[in-house]
Amino acid sequence: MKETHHDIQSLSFEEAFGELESLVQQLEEGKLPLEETIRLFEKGSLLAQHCQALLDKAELRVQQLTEGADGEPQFTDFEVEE
Amino acid sequence: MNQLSLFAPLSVEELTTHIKALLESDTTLQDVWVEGEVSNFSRPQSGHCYFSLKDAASQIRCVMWRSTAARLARLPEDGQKVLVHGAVGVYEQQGVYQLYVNEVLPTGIGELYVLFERLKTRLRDEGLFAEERKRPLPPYPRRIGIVTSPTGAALRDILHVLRRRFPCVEVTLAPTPVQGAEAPDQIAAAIGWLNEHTECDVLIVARGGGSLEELQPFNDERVARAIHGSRIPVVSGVGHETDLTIADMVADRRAPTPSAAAEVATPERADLLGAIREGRSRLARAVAESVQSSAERLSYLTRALERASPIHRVNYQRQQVDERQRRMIARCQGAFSRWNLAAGSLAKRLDSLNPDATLARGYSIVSLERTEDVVSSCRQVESGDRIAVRVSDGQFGGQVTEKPCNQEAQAK
Repeated sequence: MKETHHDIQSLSFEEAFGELESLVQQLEEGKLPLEETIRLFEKGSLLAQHCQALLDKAELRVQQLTEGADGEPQFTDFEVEE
Repeated sequence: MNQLSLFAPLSVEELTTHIKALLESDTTLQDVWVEGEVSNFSRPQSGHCYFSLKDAASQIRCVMWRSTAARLARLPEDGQKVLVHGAVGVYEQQGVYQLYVNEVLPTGIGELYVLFERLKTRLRDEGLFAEERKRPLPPYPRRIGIVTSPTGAALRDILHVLRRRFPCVEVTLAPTPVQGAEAPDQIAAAIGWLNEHTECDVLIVARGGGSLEELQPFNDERVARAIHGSRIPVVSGVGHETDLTIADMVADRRAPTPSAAAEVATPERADLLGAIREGRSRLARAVAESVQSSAERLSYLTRALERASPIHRVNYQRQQVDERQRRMIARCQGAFSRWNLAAGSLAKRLDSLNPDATLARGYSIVSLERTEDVVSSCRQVESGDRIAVRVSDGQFGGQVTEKPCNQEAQAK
């Protein structure tokens, strides 16, 4: 379970939200064994929590892509003034 | 068109009509841009405008209807150099040809405008604006690439909107100038770089409002082709509501401003929160239903199991056993009582056979020690045999001293 929790933390919004949707659908079909249902419910709750946290707590991260002296792409953090 | 006859004279009207038809069937004359200086501009009560356009060698009379004049930000003035668009026609009544003007642009801007129109037509014919090649934007972008000036208000507006709506998106800025001669190449290169070196799933190409000259990079063919060639879908947000650039036409989605482009590229936060909330409650409902139906199924099965339990069979068998036992006992009791009666009389008879009573009356039982046989005849014993004599209260030993034959003889 711990590991699942960790896995969810690393999901992007799109992945987490998509998984939540498919999981709800699966549950609504109601053909799963009870134990699986409970497992999916727990996972779904974590996914929803994660999605919400992404919207509530995320800091917009901006990086800058420029051409380095060697002509290679160069990524640097871009400081955003509010 | 009527064929002119060399011999039959024409009426003036016929000739004029012929000339008019001739001019109006010429496609060049019907869609023409002319540059010149305005002179004799007049606008009578009717609201229509009349002027001449001239250069060093020639002039042409121009008419601009009231409806066209109303669209112009500024009416032309005498001495002003302008670029006009229109169709050449004939005013029969005065026998003059003139230009019916439907667009007037100050020179300079006018040239840009012509270039713009030409490029637009060319790219449209090439299919760059085709609806069917416009790609859908990802509903939940993971990384957004932005091509704009790092110092402009456009970037600030875009980031503000992204932070408010969808802060979990990652942003890669490819900074470029957004006006000037360098801009088109750099914007095109930035689009290419974002395609090559990043995992962006949507690009925003943006610039704040400006004059037609300032927006020129976004009407540049290099930028148009870079957007067209982008593997990643592109949202344009150039200028203000009213500015429509070539970049806007090529882009997969056109937004009227940079802020609007950021909105188009991201989902609405409130919608998402709503969707998450709904997902949660559907999740809970689905589980509750599942638990409920499992519980129902369980209690059904429990009842079914109880019905099928072997305890019922055991109880039945137990009853059967009890039943038989009861019958058996009943039978046996009858037999027992009969046997009891029989046994009682037997005991009495047995008692009467008990030798002790006889012994008490003075009789004794003699048995031969060597064979332990009871002696009931003289012939059984020899003289000198050891014997045991049993009397009522015990027994003692003895020895035969006389010949039994004597006894026999005596009896005879």
